[in-house]
Formats: sequence, structure tokens, C-alpha cells
Amino acid sequence: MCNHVGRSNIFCILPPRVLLNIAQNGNDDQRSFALRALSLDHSLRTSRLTFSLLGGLQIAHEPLTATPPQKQRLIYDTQQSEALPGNLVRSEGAAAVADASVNQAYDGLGFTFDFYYAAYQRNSIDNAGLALKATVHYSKKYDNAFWNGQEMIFGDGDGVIFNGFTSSVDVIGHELTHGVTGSEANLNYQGQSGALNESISDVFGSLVKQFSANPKQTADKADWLIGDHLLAKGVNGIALRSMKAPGTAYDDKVLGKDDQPADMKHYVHTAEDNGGVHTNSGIPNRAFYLVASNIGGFAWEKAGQIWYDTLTDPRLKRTADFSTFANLTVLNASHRYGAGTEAKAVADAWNQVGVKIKKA
Amino acid sequence: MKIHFVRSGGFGGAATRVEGDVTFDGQGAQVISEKSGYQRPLAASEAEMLRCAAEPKPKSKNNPAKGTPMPDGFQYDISTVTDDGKVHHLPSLPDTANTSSRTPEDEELFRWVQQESGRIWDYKISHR
Repeated sequence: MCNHVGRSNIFCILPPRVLLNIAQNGNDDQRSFALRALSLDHSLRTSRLTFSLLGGLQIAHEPLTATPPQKQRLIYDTQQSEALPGNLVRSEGAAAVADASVNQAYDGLGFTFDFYYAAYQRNSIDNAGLALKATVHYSKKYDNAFWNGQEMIFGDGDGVIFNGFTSSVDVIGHELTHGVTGSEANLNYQGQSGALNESISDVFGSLVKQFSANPKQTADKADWLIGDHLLAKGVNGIALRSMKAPGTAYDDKVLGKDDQPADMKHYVHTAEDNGGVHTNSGIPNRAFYLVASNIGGFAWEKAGQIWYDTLTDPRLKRTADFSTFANLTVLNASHRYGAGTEAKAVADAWNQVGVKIKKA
Repeated sequence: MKIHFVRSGGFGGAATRVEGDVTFDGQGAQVISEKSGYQRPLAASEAEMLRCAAEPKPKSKNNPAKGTPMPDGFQYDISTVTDDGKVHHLPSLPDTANTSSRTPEDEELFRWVQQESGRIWDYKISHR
């Protein structure tokens, strides 16, 4: 099962979290082995990013230490203008300020950073400690949040239909995950690869919410909603998207009806929204929900790990469609957990949403 | 000439979709968004700017890219119906961090459609 050349047989099946514990608490020999294994693991996970950033040249990686990486959060305020990034209003370690949006963004980035590190030992967006930047109060009554390739940008909402976009931690996790995807598979933001890009952001955004809840939520306790705090009072809806039941999140006079399909039979062919990336993401979203629910427990531990392994798998191409992504999730489930319950749960989920698994 | 525009995408996807039509007459033009009941007459100068910016251009093999879409940014699609009845679809204009690839006319049209979509959305909200 462990095919990585050069990895210690002792440590190859151990998750990095366990290796970190060994590095911190083991004897000298154990610590040395653990650090070497962590370094190799880190190299594998970051090799694609390094390759990309350096134009194809490979450099030696600094070995990871057992010291957890430090967050570097920077929150800016454009004061309702569109001049990015705006004024720096809170940086790492600074006390909370009077502005709730600033604190929500700061906390949300912190939850997301902590989630990625605790669950997958990922050190920030680029896995190399990149500072997390966010701008709040972008434009006037702006009903959107987006990732511009460098930072997360949040509008205040109009106050009638939408609340501020920092009010939902899953929205913050969603935006930051666009950065992670950009550092890894960099899925084209168009058609099925774009819908996968969106779905991956919804998946990990939801997992950030479940992970940061007190107490942490198991798959059966989670709401599987995206943006459940976003809709203002009086709107006929519970969120912007439902991963559990795509197409049922809202039905409102202004917003219209949730248009997400739950399976391939209802796939929407459109040129709008980069080929329906926010619409057809409902299909892989539901597949993930089905996997997580079938496996049970904390969704980030197995289902999330399989999705994360797939996102960071060098075989995942920018132009991947649902079928090729599905195939890689099955391969990664088998690679990590063997050809048992988990791999079957993944294959069954894709089958339920009508995605045929394309063999590589 | 008639111009049809659609704003799609954004974090909310279809929930924040907006569309509108600009119809020209001898004096100026008017923007209408039928589904929302929005109407706005354009001044002659604004109408002329819009007509020039939306005028179909000859297709070139070296058409510059319109910019890489930003995740969760809005996308703006514009089509024109010329007086001879032909429909011309302009390449989609996404919210992008890099606008240097756009011509000044594209940028002018983008800014106008972006602002008008915002006005229509505000109108929808205020008349819910």
C-alpha cells in the first residue's frame, strides 16, 4: 500500500499528526526518524507547488520542525471603497477591535488555518506559511465575497437579503480554499473543472465549520449548509446551498429558486457563471456528503482526507471533469484505507449522483 | 441596436443573477430589466458612449484575452442585436484582477454593465 520511494516503512502509514507527536515526545532515534518522515511527506505534498513557482526547477526543502507553524493574519478595510487592499486594521496577535466584521474575518481565517494544519498538516494556503490576507467592507452594500488570487475580499451585504459575508465561517473557509486549490491542482474555473473548484471550496468550507463548532460536529450532526448565516431575516431560505439536498436551500421572490442539481441527470448546461460552476457544484457536493455520512464520524478525518489527498494528487489535472476526479477519489481512498469500506463508500456515492468513474 | 446583458456568478451563483436590455431610439436609450420592473432612461451622451463601446468589432485571431476569472467573481455577458437583426455575442467579461488585457472600450463597457447590474440588483432588493 505504501509505494512512496524513500519513506520509512515504520512511518509510512502514520499520519503526520502522529509523527509530530513522536518528534516532540520520542527518544532521539524516534525523533530523528519522525522528522525525516515528515520532511519527505512535506516534500511530496509541496513538490508540485515548488515546481510551479520555480518554473520547473526543484530545490531542496527545509525539513519541517516539530514546532507548529505560526499564523500570519492581516485584515484590511476598504471602508466601502473598491481600492484594494485598504487600510490595515488588525494584524496577527493584535487585540480584537470594535468592528465585528474585522474580528469575524480574523477569527474565520484563524479557524481555517487551524483546521488545515490539524487535519492535514497543511501550513497555510500554499503549505509554506503564506500570510492570510482579507479585506472587509469592500464596496457599498456588496453582496459577494471572492478570492482575487492574493487575498479574500468580503462585502457587507445589503442588509435586506444578505448579511455581511464574514458572518459565516464556511464562507471564509470557502474563499481560503480557493487559494489552496490555486496552489495545488489549480482547477480551471470553467465547466466541470470549475464546478469541482467550487465544490472543493464548499466541502472544506463546511468542514471548517464542523471542525470549529463547539463541540466539534460529526457528519450526522452537521447541517451541510453553505452560508446559513448569510440570508437576512425575511428571506425564504435557510442558506445559499445545501450539500445534503442540492436545490432546496432557498425559494424566494428576489433570489429565485435554488438551481443546484443533485445528480447528473439534472446537470445544467449554460454559458453563464463560467459554465454553471456554482450550479453544478451541487453534484460533487452531494457526493461528498454521501461519503461522509456513509463513513460516519468526523467528516474531515476520512472523507475529507480522501478529498484532500485527491486535491493534492499530482494526477489531478487542471481540466479534470467529474469522472476523472471521482476516479482519483476512489484511488486515494484505496491507497490510504485499503480496498474496503471507505473506497466502497466513495464509489457508491459517485454512483448515486450519476457520475461514472473514469478509469485512468 | 439593442444590447442585452447578464451578470452571473458570484458566491451566490444564480441567487444574485441580474439581466437587462438597452434599447436605443433617435434621442437616446433606455435600460429595462423586465423581471424586476427596473427602468432607467439614459442621457444622450451615455447612450452614445454605450453604442460605441458595444459596437460589434471585426473578429481577430489575436483577440486579446478578457482576463482570467476570479473565483466567486461576477461574470458579465453582453450581446448586441444590430439594426440588420444580427446577434453578436461579445466574449464574457469576468471580474478579474488583471484588466490590462482589455481594450479601453471593453473596460468602459465592463464598468457600465457592472454599475448598471448593481443598480438593477439594488432596485430588486428595495422592491421585494
